[in-house]
Amino acid sequence: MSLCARCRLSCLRQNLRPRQTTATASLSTKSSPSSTAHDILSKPTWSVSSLLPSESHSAPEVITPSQLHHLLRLSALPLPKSPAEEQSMIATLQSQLQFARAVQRVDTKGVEPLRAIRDETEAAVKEMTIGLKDLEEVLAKETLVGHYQRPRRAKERIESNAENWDALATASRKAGKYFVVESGKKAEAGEP
Amino acid sequence: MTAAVVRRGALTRTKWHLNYGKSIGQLPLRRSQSTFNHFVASTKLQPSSTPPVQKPDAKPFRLAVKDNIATEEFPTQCASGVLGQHASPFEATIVRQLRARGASVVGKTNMDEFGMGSHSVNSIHGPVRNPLAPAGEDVSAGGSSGGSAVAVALDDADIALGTDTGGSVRLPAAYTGIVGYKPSYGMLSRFGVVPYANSLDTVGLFARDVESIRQLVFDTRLYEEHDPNDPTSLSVETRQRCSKAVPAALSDLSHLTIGVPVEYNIDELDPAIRDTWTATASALESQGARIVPVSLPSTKEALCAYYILAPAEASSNLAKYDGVRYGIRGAEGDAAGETLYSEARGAGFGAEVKRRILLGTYSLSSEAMDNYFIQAQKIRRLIQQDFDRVFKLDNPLYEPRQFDLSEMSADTALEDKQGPVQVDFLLSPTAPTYPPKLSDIMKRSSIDAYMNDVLTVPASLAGLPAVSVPVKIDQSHQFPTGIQLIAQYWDDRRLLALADKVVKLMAA
Repeated sequence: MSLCARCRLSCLRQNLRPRQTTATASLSTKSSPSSTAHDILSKPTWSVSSLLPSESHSAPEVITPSQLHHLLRLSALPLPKSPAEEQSMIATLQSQLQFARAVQRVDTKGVEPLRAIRDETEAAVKEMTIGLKDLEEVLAKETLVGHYQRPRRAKERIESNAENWDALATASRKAGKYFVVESGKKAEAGEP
Repeated sequence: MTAAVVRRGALTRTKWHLNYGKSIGQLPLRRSQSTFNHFVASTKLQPSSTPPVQKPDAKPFRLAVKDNIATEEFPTQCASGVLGQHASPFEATIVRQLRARGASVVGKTNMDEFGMGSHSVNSIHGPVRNPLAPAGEDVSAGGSSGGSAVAVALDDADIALGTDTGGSVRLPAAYTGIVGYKPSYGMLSRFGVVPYANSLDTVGLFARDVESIRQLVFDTRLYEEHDPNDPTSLSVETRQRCSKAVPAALSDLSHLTIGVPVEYNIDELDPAIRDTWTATASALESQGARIVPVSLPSTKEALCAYYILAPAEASSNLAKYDGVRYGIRGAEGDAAGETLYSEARGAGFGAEVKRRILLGTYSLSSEAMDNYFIQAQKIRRLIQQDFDRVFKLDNPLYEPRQFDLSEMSADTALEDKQGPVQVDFLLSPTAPTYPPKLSDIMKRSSIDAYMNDVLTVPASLAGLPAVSVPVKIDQSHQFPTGIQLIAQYWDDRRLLALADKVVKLMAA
């Protein structure tokens, strides 16, 4: 028996959740207790090593020494001290990238990136939205100023506990109320 | 090789001390001293604020805290050279919440530097050792929260705090034969927890039985508490909405459908672990639960997506360690290297941290951003949709969504004309193998080590609650198997209830 693709699709589209599963629950429980799990797990479905660079046939992402140096500078990490160290850093990064490249084989057209796990229901969006009601108190404090009677916000000092701590307490070097960054090179800077 | 491991640790220490000994200024760093190296040796500090007010129903218990969670009584070092004996000016919310519930902090535990690792070996204090290993053998305790797991396994603490970014609580729990619980993302406050990858980090709990965790999180109403200091902590309203959306109590096993994700059955799975998995599923089935295979097709790319997202977020998070405001700075001045602060960062960070920072910097660079970082975030969406499709419950963070069958993979087995079967929980192992020897880990490349997380990262990427419980079917085997249960978002209470049932069922 065959259905044309369009009929099948529309037939499938009708059958969406929510739905009941109880009616068919007895179907697969007929088998003996130990066999269900055993049947499911009898054969591995894939191998993680298929993600490993050595197994992949695609050409590696090439990282040039100058690219590596650029990345190290962006990361504020020291540059390699020898050509051998440079080679090993490049090799590591390339193998990591080749492993990570598996994400590119998936077709993600039209997929919205998942950036954060948070409440995205309509109710939550409503709760997060700042409306006139939330500002009522502040707006009431505004004064009208000048010829055109423009509203102006009243300036007030907000006392917050977030600022009541000694930010310099954990600094190893400080000058008065400032942090110290020794930005000069050793030769020209000298010890203070 | 063991000697080599220890010597390597000692060498790093000596060199580091020679270079930066003078600039530490405050306290000398000391090696953690114990057979299993699970506690970090540190000097007790004088707390600057008053202890939290005890709740009326507080019961005293001993709490071990992973060293990336800020405590007032001990320094917070993240097993890294860049932080030195950093004394946090404030305490993490979760620690204060637990102290109000009767906790006394017994110590800070060893870990992988900033949480980056799966075996607790990337630590300035040297590797954590597994107490279940035969005498004389150095075996991985799992990571990155390995020290916390060992502290609970050895009864040095009743409860331990860890952090789980891609499996860092579940994996050590599996390796050390205890219970490790990663709650729904956003449930427990992360204020005072040193960030590694913000979109994935969760605070997790260890205990020797499921009941202690369930009591602490649910009976003392920890799960209801919103923390205004943590922007990812769910609001009170959201918590109430989520709680309404999930059943309050676990029904009888005969009303439950438990899914066995077929993509978790990988070639690399140890046959004994597969047998334990099968036995656990069969035991649940004999108690009336319905066991069905389910497919989560995006699992295969989950690991790669995780190792793009986590390092990218880490490279951004770790940019702040320059030694100016806190931590250790270079003895030669901040500008000694090619880039400002680079010498201090180069000496302070361990090798794995530097590797991940570099990888993260690459995947966030303009030419790679779309192909790596954004693509990984899209994969992450697919992983979340995979889970939402197989769970009976809707994800309470979104408006109820209908899944079109035409969007699903063609080989998805249909339950009936209405679509594929939907489940209450997922059952899988926690780790593909038993804990490896430390000497073997040292021989592996960093990518080989990443493979260990293949069964734990999907739940982390989707922000779902998951728990690892120890199951032993062959009493002659050295190590128990970690069995992982995963539930829909905010279904934590039922998840822990089922985990408790599994433990009791398999012990009988």
